[in-house]
Amino acid sequence: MSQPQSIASLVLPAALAFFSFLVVHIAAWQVLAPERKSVALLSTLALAAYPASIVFCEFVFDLAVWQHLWTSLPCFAFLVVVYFHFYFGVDRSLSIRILQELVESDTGFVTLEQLDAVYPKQDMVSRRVAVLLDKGYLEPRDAAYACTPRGRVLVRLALLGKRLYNLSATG
Amino acid sequence: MAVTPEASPVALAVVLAPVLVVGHIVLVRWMRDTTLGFVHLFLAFGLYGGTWFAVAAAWWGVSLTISQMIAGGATAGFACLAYMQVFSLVCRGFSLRILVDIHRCGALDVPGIMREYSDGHGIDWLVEKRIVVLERMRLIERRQDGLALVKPQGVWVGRMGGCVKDVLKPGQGG
Repeated sequence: MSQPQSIASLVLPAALAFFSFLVVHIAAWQVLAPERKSVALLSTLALAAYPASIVFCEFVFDLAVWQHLWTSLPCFAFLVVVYFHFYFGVDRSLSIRILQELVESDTGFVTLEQLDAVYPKQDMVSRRVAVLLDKGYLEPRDAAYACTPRGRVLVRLALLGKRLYNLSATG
Repeated sequence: MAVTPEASPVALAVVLAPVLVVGHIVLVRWMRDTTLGFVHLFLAFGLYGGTWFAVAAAWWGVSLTISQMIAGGATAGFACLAYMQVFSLVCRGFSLRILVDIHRCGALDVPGIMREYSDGHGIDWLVEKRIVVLERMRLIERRQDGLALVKPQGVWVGRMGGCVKDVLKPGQGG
C-alpha cells in the first residue's frame, strides 16, 4: 500500500469546514428563538461551511479544490451526518429526556407520576403537532388536525417503508 | 476539473450503496425476530463495508492508498449513517407516526392522537417501549412504581443531554 504525501492536506478542508460549522451553529443557537432552530437552518449552515472552507484553503494554504475534493467532501459529509445523529438524538430522543430527568432528580429515582409531571405526554405530542403545522404537513380542521397533501405524501412514504421492512407497530 | 485517484473509491461506495439497502431489507425480512432491533442494520453495514473493501482490494490490490481508503470509507460511512437516519425515521419516527395516525383516522385532536398513537396502541405504549429499551440496555431499572438509574453510563448520557441543551438551548427537548 503506497503512502500519499499529504493526507492531512486532503482532510484539512473537511476538518476546517466542520469546525466552522460548529462555531457558527453554536453562536447562532445562542441568539435564535427556539422555533427558528430548524433542521433546514442547520442543514444550510452545514452546506455553507464547506464552500467557505474550500475558498479559505485555496487562498490561505494554496490548496486547489480538485486536489482534495474527493477526500474532503466525503469526510465532511460523514462528520456532519454523525453530528446530526448526535444533535437530533439529544434534542428529540424520549429516552435521553427520560435519562436527563432521572439525573436531574438528585436521587436518581422518579415515579412515573413525577416523570409525567415534568415531562407530560401531552407536551410530547403538542410540540410535534406544532412543528407539523408549521411545516405544512398538518392543517386545522374542526378543532382537530388533518393531513395536507404534503403530509399525505410523507404518510405514503412511511407506509411504503413499513411494508418494505415488514414492521408491525412503528413509532 | 481533474479526477484524482480518490474519486474511484468514492464512486465505488456510491455504486455499491444498493447493497446496504437491499441487504438490510433482506435481513429484516429473513430474520423476523423483532427483539433484534437495530442488529439487522449493523449486519447490513458490515455487508456493505465488507463488499466495498473486497471489491476495492480486488480492483486496486496493493496500490490502494490510505487517502483512497479514507475517501471510500468516509463515503460508505456517510451512506450508512444517512440510511440509518431514514430507517430510524420509518421505524421509530414520532412525528411521522402522528401523521400516519391522523391520516388513518381522517382528523384527530391532541387527546385523539394520544389515544390512537401507533394504530391505537396509545402514547403510554410508546413511553413504555422506550423504558423497556433503556431497561434492556441496563441503564435504568424499575423499582416499585418508578424508574431508577443503575449505571454510570445512564448518568453520563443524561448529563450529556443536559450539557448539550445548556449550550445550544434548543428547549427541553424529547
